[in-house]
Amino acid sequence: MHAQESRGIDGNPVIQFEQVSKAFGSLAAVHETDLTIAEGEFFSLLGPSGCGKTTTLRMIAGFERPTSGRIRLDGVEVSTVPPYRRNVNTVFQQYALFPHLSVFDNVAFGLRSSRTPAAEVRDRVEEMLAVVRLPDVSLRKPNQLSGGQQQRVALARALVNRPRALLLDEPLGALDLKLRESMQAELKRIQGELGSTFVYVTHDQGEALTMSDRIAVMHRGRTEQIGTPQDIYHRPASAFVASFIGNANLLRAQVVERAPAPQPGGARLVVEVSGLGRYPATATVDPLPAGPLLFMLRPEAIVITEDEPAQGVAVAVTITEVTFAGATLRCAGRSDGGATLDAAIVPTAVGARPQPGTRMWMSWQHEAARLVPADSAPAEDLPAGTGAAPTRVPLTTPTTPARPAGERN
Amino acid sequence: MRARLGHLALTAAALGGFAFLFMPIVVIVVFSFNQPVGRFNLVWHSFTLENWLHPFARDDINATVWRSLRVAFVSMVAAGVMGTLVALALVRYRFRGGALVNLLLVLPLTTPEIVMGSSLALLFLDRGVERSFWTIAIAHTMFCVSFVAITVKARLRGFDWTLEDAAMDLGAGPWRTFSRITFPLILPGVLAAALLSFSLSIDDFIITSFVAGEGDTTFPLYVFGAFQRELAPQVNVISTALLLLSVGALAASVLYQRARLR
Ligand SMILES: Nc1ncnc2c1ncn2[C@@H]1O[C@H](COP(=O)(O)OP(=O)(O)OP(=O)(O)O)[C@@H](O)[C@H]1O
Ligand SMILES: [Mg+2]
Repeated sequence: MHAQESRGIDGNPVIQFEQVSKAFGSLAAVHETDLTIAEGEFFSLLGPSGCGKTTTLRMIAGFERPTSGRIRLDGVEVSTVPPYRRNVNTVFQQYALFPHLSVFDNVAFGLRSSRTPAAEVRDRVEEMLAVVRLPDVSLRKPNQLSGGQQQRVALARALVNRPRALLLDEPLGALDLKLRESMQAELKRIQGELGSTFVYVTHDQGEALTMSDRIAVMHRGRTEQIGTPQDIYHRPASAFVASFIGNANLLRAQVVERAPAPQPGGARLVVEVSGLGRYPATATVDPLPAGPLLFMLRPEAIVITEDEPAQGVAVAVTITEVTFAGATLRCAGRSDGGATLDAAIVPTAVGARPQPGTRMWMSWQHEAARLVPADSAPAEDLPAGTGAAPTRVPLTTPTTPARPAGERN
Repeated sequence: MRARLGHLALTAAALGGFAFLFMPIVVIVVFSFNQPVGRFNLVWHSFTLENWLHPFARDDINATVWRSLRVAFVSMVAAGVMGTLVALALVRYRFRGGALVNLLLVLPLTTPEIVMGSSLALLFLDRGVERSFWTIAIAHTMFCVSFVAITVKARLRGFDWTLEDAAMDLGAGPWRTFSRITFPLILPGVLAAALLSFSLSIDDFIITSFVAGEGDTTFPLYVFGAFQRELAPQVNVISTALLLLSVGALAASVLYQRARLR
């Protein structure tokens, strides 16, 4: 709905979706999706469980046929082409290594399927095992390898065929945190070295933000937004994107005043924020759709001071909660109007250290405030608290801060 | 003290149970070393290796053993192929009538053999099919298919079908996917099922007796028929050898599967 190509894509389009839908019975797993993935891009499909990421990937690979719409690979319509005739390869979530074949034979499988001469098979397999830094294990069976090594074999087995696009379905899901982080760097290195197109499925927003050139945020089978990590983080096209990527304060708001001329990056507006008052904000989509709107402010954009600051916009709050969160201090404050704002501040030796119950000022640069549409998803989909209270950890059990009665939408 | 006695009693009871179960087999094995007096190898006379040194001394017995082996081989191959395909279809695909096929598979296992045998005999008679080696093979294939399908199905339950996706993703068409990935992985199950069907076929008596032609006596039919006239020690020798063969095959398949798991 608010899917938008926030930035032009350089390079040839490798994968194109035109109004692609996939239904399982009455369930629309993927709904009227448009996508263009360019050559050499690291493209992520990001979204909560069940949003249709795997289905999208399986349609690219050829395991599922779209119910309607068209898929093109290198401009050629492939919607009915079987997987073994498509020049894309997949890294499966559980790797799906062939247990009865050695590492070498696993990696060579694709080349042998395409009847590559034996000498070339040997060279390319060895070259690829070197790229994924797995020398000396080529005679072992997959079950004699560690999880991280199996991951590399799966990667080599797919990449050795020089696919037009490599499809990865949560490839790091089974690894522990440390290994995950080093494999993230590995994947980026390999992608850079080979210059291949990667389509990467993940439900981990941090992973998507750090690794991707562009991200498609999916929700309930729909693409909510497509853009660079910066776009998606700073200019979320919907309340869902705002709360799924990072944390966000989301408060119900109404437009009071429009700037006379539209400005780059969205129109500057003055909005009436429920429980806060009138504040400037920038719309993330233009034109704004009819329907409810939300005022969005990232917790880390908020500064807390004892006195009213000279610059920026500010609101007086009573601090209700202070939580230590490692590098940052999370402070919740309630405005006189009853709205709750979450701030993440970096405590300094000299700065004010908020205490619960004290009166403080929360301020921010007016560019940091955004106005996002709230209606892109049915209301019950939004994390609890949207509209009146900040959301913290979206889509897990929502923590519901105390909020004044009558403030709920 | 009490507990010890109880333990001893339990052990004795267990041993007694086993003795009861295995006594007939022991008798067969022991009497394969007997030097019989007269035509019946029923009374212990003296120990000899003579029977084991000349197991194929009796041409009439040899012919029946050879026929039994051929029937078992044909039905093993036929039931192995068909049963495996049935199992693959049932596990891999959801289709209308799948539940019915599942039920029909169990039927030959639960139907009394005498019912199956007599109905088959009637069927052949009605259709004017002359009873022969091939009617035996068809009958054996029929009940072995069920055993094979059920055994292979059990093996397939834990099969990771994403391996097939992975093979196709790597450019392997349906045939290459089956021959290089699926089949090698289910082979142990198929072999175990084939061995089972071989041993079921080679000792079948009731069904065979209904469908065997006049001159197509199998080994079990021969033993039963000869029982009234004579009991050659070669029967014991060959029975013991068959016993060793099937126990050996069983052990081999267990050891093989253990080795694969490691
Ligand atoms: N073969 C299928 N038959 C029926 N429904 C399916 C099938 N495959 C997927 N679905 C449904 O389609 C929806 C999208 O599934 P999909 O696997 O694409 O989600 P996902 O985003 O990959 O989720 P996860 O993060 O949990 O892997 C889900 O509701 C799922 O139950
Ligand atoms: Mg998935």
